[in-house]
Parts: sequence; C-alpha cells; structure tokens
Amino acid sequence: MSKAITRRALLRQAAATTGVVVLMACQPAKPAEKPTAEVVQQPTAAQPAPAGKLVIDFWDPSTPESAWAKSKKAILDDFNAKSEKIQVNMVFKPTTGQTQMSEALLTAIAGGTPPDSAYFDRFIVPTWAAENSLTDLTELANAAGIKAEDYFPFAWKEASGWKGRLWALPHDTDDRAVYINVEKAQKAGLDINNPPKYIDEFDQWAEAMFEYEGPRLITAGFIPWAQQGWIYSYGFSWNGKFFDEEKQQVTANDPRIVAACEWMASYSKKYDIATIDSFSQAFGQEAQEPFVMGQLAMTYDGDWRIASVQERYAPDMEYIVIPMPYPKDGGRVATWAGGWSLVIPRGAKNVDAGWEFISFFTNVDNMVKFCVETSHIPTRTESAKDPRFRENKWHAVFMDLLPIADARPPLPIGQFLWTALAEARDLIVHLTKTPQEALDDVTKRANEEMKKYQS
Amino acid sequence: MMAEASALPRRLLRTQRQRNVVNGLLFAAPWILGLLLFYVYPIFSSLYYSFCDYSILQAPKWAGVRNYLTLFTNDEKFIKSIYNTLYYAFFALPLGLVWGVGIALLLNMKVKGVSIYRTIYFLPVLVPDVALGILWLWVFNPQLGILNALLWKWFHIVGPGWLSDPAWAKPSVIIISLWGVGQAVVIYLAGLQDVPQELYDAAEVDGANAWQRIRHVTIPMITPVILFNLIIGLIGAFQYFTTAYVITTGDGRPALSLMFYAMYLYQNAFVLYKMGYASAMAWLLFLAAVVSSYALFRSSARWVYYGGQ
Repeated sequence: MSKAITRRALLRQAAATTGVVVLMACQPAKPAEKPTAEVVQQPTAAQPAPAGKLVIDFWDPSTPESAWAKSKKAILDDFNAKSEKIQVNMVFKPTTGQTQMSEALLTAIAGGTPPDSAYFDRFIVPTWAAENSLTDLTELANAAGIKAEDYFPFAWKEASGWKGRLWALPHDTDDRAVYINVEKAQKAGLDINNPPKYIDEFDQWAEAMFEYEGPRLITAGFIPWAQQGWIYSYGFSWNGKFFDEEKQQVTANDPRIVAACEWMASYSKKYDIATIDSFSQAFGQEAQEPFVMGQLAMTYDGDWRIASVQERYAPDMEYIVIPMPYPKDGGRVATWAGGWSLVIPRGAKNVDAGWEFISFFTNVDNMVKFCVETSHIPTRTESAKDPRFRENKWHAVFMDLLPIADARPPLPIGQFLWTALAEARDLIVHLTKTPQEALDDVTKRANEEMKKYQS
Repeated sequence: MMAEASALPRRLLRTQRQRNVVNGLLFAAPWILGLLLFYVYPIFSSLYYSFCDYSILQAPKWAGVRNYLTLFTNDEKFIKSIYNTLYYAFFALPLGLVWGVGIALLLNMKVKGVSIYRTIYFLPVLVPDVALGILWLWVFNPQLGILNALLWKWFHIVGPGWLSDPAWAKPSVIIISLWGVGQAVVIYLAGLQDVPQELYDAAEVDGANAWQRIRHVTIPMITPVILFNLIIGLIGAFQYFTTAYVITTGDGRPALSLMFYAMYLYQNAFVLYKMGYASAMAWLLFLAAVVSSYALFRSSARWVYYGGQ
C-alpha cells in the first residue's frame, strides 16, 4: 500500500468532513424556533412590512430600551401607521469610542450601502458634509417650506455649516449654565436671592464656599474645568471668537479666549491644581455625583442635570440656576448648545422616503413629544413654546438662553478642534503651558488641518 | 515502502507530487487567502495610505511625504508621545527585568508550596488589561485608594495624586506594569531550570557564595531567555496602549503625560479619521521596532551566552 494513497484517502475523508461541517454552519439557524427574548428586545430586528411598502432603515445610537430609544420608536411607529408607502426599521448602531459617531455608519457610507436615514450629532455634520458623505437637503427643505427662521439660530447654523447648504434637520439640543447649592451658599453667608452676575463677584462666591477640614479640601466652591467647563464654555462668555468667517481662519488664540483660559488657570494657581486633581478623583457618578454630594458648591453643567440628576437622586436638594457670569468689560451672557439631528447619508437609495421620514420625525409636534419625554430641549422655536418646558423654573433659565446660544463653530475640522481644545484646557489648568502658548498651538494646527478643505 | 515508491514510473510520481501540492494548497487556501486579504493587503495599503490624506469616507488623496514631514516638524504631541513611550520603555523594561529575574530566582528555590507561590505571581497576567486599568485606578485613587490610605496609616505620608499628577502618572503606570511581570517570570523560571546542576556544584566546590553563583553561573546561563524577554518587552512597550487608554479614557491626561505613541496613533485613526497620518505613524513604529530589535540582536553577541558555543 502506498503511503501517498493512504494520505489521499485521508485527505478526501477530511475534505468531506469539512464540507459537511461548512454546509451545516451555512444552514439558517432554525427558523421555526421562537425568537429569544434578546431578539425581541433588540429594535434592530426587522419588522415584517405590509406588502407593497418600501422598507427603509433608520440608524440610531440610543441604547435600546432607554427612554430615548422608546420615545423615538413611538414616533417611528406612528409614522409607519400613517404612511401607506413607507415602513421604517429602527436599527441600533452605537457611537464608537470617544467619538460621536458610529463606525458602522462610517463604513456603510464608505462602502456605498448606507441606511436611508440616521440620527446624527449635529456638531459633526459639517465634517461629514465636507467629506461628501451626507445628502444635500436644501432643495427638499425649500420644497417643504422648512426654513432657517423655524429654528434657533445656532442649530440651523450647525446644520448648514458647510457651503451654506442644508445637510441635516436639527432635532434636540441642550445648553449650559451655573448651578448653585443653596445650602452651601447660605452657610457661607451669601445672599442667594442676589446671585453674581459678573465674574469678579462669582469668584468671591466660589472662594467663600471653598471648605477645608484641616488641610483637607471638603468642598470646592467652583472648579472651572469640572463637568461642562470647556474652553468653548468660557470662550463664549468672554465674548471670544473661535473662527473668523471672513478670513476663514480658526482664531482659538483670540485675546478674549486667552483671557478666559487665564481665568481658568487662576483657579489652578489659587487653589493648587494638585489638591484639586486629587480631590476630584473622588467624584462619583449618578447618585454619588459631586454637586449632589456637596463636593462642588457650584458647577457649570447642562440642563439635563435637572431631570437626570437633581430630580432623580436629590429631589429635596435646594439649588438655583444662573447664566454663567462674565467679565464686566467685554463679556456677555452666553451658553453653548449642542444636540442631534437627522440626516440622509450620501448614497442612500431612497432619498425621498428618507426625507419623508426625517421631516416627519422633526416636525413641531414630534419634536415636542420627544423632548418632553426625554427631558431634552427642542431646536424649533415653535416647539420650544410648549409650556411644559418651563414648568420647572430652573429649566426656564435654560430655555431663556436659547435665542442667544452659541454652537461650536460649524467647521469640517470640528472634531479636531474639539480634541485639541480639550487637550489645551488640560495643559493650561496643569500650568504645563500658558494659555497663549497652548492656544497658539491649537490655532496653528487647526488652520493647517483647515487647508485640506480649502483647496 | 521506499522500494515501492521508487519502482513507480517517474512521470506518475511527479504528477502524484503535483497533486499533493495542489491538495495541500487547497487545504491551506483559507489560511493563505486570509493571510493575503487580511494581512498582506492591509499592510501594503497602509504603506500607500501613509503617503495620502485618507478619511475613509473619501478616496485617498496622494500627499507625498507630507504626513511624515508634519509629524516631525509640526506636531508637538507626536514628539511628546515618543518621549512618553521611550520613558516608559526605558524604566519599565530594566525594572521588569530585575524584578522578573528576582522573583523567578525566589520561585526557583526548593521550598514547600512553591507551586502555590508561582501561581500567585502568575495570576495578575490572567487579569484582562481593561480590568487591570480600572483596578489600579482604584488602588491609586488619592482619596479613596488603598495605597494612599496605607501610606498614611503606616508612615504618615500624604501620598501623591498618582495618576492625576503629571509628575507621577508615568511612574504609576510603570508600577502597574511590574504587577504583570508574571508572564516573563514563567519564562525565566523555565530558563533557570535548564541551568545544569553540575555548574552550581562546581562553583560551590570552588567556594563561590550565593551571590557569586547567581552572578557568574545563573545570569550568564539565562541570557538567551533575558534577550527573548527584552525583545518581547521592548515591542510590547512600544505598543503600550490598553491600560493607559482605560486609565485616561484615551486622552492621555493629565497634561498629556500618559499620551503614549499607540494611543496617539489610535486617536488619529479612530477619533479624527486621519488614516493616512495614522498609517505613517504605524510605519514609523514598525521601523522603530525593527531597528531596535535588530540592535538588541546585534548587541547580544557580546552578552548572550549560548551554553556550549
């Protein structure tokens, strides 16, 4: 008997076995079986479409079963019930890592097989528009009578931040202000009915509320870089300009922004950055969150805190909300607003169906519905008039700030600038770099990045 | 069988051989295809992308050597990330070597329950990097962590901010790396057990004390293992990522003191979608790893002793 033949027989046997295994693996997994609980929970599971209806996908990053996902799903179900021609499936696509977008969406667009609609952070709309990855909605919006005046200016500006065309329909938003713990203020002998308006007075309040137990810091009156205290936050309050529209240049080293950062650094110097760093390492989340725990007497934070922290974990805690104080000379009342939008990715097969869905999803009533259910703020001025947004008097402070709110400059390098400014803040408050050095560097690198989109 | 095979006509043998080759290739095809599609093609396309602007969303645009030029002339963070990575390698490697060999020597002693000790020292290796990062975040927490609590209790020392203080952050992650030295210890142990007993006996007869036996017998005999661990450790240090990423959530805080090379590479690729730039960084990392491994190999002629040669 030849060795070779034995081997061949063996090979044949092995090949046959492999083939069977592969075939078995290729078989559909028991279609008769009932779907498992997980499958039912997943909004990704395709729903059966009535015959003759066009089925399109809506990719959404909200965690399934969260209040957001449920509220969106209700709007979508309503659409499906009303529409005779279109059936929309909601598909969960989480955002990736530190970014606000999903790599699945990125690869789907790059691969030419995107969904016909997607939920999308408004802040990165200009980047994706500049990368030729979103459908231009200008004509569709014109035909439908949707116009800039329907929305708060910052939201429209972000959605139309690339070449003045409309790339997204703005949906919800959030804005930021200062929360003050009433008990801490009163303990420090401060008049809570007369909160600070200007920054000098605010700094005195902060100082009065710093509390020590021996050498140990117990309460920080205010930490400028805690929670929502970014360079954007104070840059706007100091009336700085991050971008020069005329010259099309990033101006992160605007003297006003440098001044705002110097103010941040003054807290590092005055209260010792090592002490504050060490102190803030003990900050928890949710119920152990530092403002609720009394570790921060004042904090710069978003409107969402009212529903997601205060009402949930500390319903009896007394606090007030004031707009961020600003320098008497040259500052202004300001806030920065973010939020999401709906887009039709470039390469979508059913643009009209996608448009029908996203314009329904963002209409006045649905925007109210979603924002009330999820404690968000609408970007449509008409929706924002709903009295429920003013039921909580501190929430009303945030609503009042909307008409003057700023968004981050709508640039194709939005994410780059965000990352660079976040790092600059860290270098500045650790006194590694002076504000001028750090912001000069950001400006230089950002303008270098901008060149790619300017040629 | 030999006789049978040679008795076959030469032609048939050749086709038989060819058939075997074809069959063999067919069976290896999934692997070969996988290698070509998922390794060879991406490796070479990343070389091409490193000379392009590439955001994934649009086709790559040729940019010549601009990515490489920007890295060296206009990117402080790149230089900072190299500094951080070299700092880490420069301290973590020698410390890991001394620490690892030291533990291996202890674990090589003939004492009762030595396998229990071996297990204990190996256990941290089984902790996933992400869990490791989170665990040490708690250990190092200046307010709530056990380390500062003990420092205060035993020595009345107010511990530093460890991971929150730019001056302490890198030493802290080096300490973390020493905790995971078990993998190297196992390899050192294997090396130690290969050292012939007669050498020790001879040394003892010559009157060598314990230190002299370690210095002149043990260490030279395990130099091949040390070389292996150094090269693996060096490449690992160059690619240091997961733990630091978990600790800093990717932004290299505080004050970029934990922005390591691989983290900055990742940030460029998957946060900023500058794939061309990230590819350029990846190739530079590859070159650095090749050059330094080669240098280690070259130097090994002078200090690595292969028994009997």
